[in-house]
Amino acid sequence: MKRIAAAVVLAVATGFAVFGGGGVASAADDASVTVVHGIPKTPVNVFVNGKITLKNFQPGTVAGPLSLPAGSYKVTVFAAANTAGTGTPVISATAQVPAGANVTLAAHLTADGKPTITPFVNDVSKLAPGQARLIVRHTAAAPAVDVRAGGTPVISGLTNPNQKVLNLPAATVKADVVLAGTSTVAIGPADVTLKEGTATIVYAIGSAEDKTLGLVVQTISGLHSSPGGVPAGTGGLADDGGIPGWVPISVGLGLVIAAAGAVRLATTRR
Amino acid sequence: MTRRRTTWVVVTALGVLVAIGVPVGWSLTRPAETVDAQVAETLASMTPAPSTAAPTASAVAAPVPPVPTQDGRVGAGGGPVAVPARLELPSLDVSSAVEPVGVDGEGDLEIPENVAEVGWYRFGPRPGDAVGSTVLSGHVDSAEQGKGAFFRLRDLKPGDPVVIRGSDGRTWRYRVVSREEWPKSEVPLDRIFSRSGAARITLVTCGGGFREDIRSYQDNIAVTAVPVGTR
Repeated sequence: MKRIAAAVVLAVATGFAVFGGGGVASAADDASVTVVHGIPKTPVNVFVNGKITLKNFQPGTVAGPLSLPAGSYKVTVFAAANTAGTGTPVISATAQVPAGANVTLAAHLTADGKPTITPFVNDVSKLAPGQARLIVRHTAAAPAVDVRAGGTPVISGLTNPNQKVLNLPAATVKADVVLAGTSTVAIGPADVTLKEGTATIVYAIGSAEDKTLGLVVQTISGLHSSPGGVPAGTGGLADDGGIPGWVPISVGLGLVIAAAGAVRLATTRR
Repeated sequence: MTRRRTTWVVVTALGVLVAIGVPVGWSLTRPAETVDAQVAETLASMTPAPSTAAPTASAVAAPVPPVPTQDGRVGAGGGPVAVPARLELPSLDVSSAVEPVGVDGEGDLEIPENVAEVGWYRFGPRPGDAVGSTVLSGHVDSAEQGKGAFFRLRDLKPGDPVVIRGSDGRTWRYRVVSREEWPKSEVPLDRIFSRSGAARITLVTCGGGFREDIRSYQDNIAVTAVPVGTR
C-alpha cells in the first residue's frame, strides 16, 4: 500500500504538471476532469480541498466528470477505512487544473505491475452523424496487445500506457483483447456498445501475472452532430413553390376581356 | 350614355377585376407557411427543471461539487428500451408504421424506403425522454410510389393531436404548437435534431416548390409538438 501511495503521489504531481503548463485560463472555461480507478483490489477515499469527494472509490469505477474552474486544488487520498480525512494521508498532491481541457486521470498499473497515474487528454471533437468514437487505452500490467472487433483486429501492437482512437459507425461490437500478433485471448470477449455521438473509452486494467485483467469503460456523450439534410420527397405532387397555372391564365383572360371591352368602348358611338 | 357603352364599361371593369383579383385572392387565401415559429425556438432553448435541489452556497474558496460515479464495467447501465412503433395524426387521418432510421451515405437523414412509413431518428431522443427533440420524418411523396405518409403535414395546425405508440404498448400524446417552412439551405438542423431543450417531437418532411431537374423539393417543413400526457 505504501509503495502504491508513493507512486500515486508522484504520478498525480506529474500528471497535473503536464496540464498545468499551458493555456490562458478563462474563468468561464472550466476543465472537465474524470478519474478512472484501474488498480485492482485497492479501494480509497479521495479528498479535494479537505472535503471528501470520492468515498470508498472502488477499482473499476469511473468518477466524474467534475467541472472544475481553472485553479489550484489540494488532493489527498486516504485508505477506504479512513472516512474522516484526518491523520497522515497516503497521497497528498496539489493539482493545477487548466481551463477548457477534457482530461482523464487513470490510476493503473504499469506494464511491469507498478501503480501509477497517467493523464489522458480525451478527444472530444465532434463526430459525423451516425458515428461513434472508440478509444482503447492499455493501462494493464501486460505486454503489447491487439484489439479485435467481431474477430477482426482493429488495433495492433498497443502498449502500456498508450491509446488508439477510432471513429466507427455506431453499433454494438463483440470485442476482445489478444496478445499482439496471436489469437491468445487476454481479455473478453465482451459486447461493447459504441453509442452514436459518444466516445467510448475502454481501459484494459489489472495484471496478467495476478490474473486480474479486465476492462473499465468511460463514456463521453454530446459529441454528435446533426444530419446534413432531410431529403423527403421526389415526386413533385406537393409542389407549391410556383404560382399555380390557373392564376396567370385568369390574369391573361381578364386582360383580354378588359382590352376587348376598352376597344369596343372606344369605337362605339356616343 | 348608351346602353351599349354601359355594357362595354362593365365588361372592361370585369376584365380588370379578374386580372387583378385572381392573383390577389390566391395569395391571400393560400395557407401560411409558418405558424408560431417562435414557440419552437423557445422550446429548443429551454432548460428542463433539474430534479435535484439547487446547490447551497459555500464559503469554501474553491467549492468542490459532488462527483458522480459510474460503474465502469462493460455493459453497465444497458438494457432494452421501448422504441416508437406507430405514429397517428388523427386530424389528417394518418396512421403509419414507424421504423428506426439513421443517416445515409451522404450524412443526410435516412427516410424509410416505403413512403407509407415514418422514420424515427434512432440516434436522437426517444418519446418520453425528459429533454430534446424526438425526430420523426416521412416522405411527402415519391416519384415511384406517389403520396407519402407526410403528404399533408403542412395542413397540421397548432392544437392538432399527435399520438405515438411504443413497441411496448405505451402511448405518448402530443399537441402541435408550431409549423415552420424554410428553404433547404436555411433549415435549422441543429435545432430540429437538438438533444437538449424541452421534451418535444419534430415531424419533418419536404415542401415548397419542386425542381424537376434535380427531382427535389426546395423547402423543408417541420411541425413541433409538445407532450400532453403519457399513459
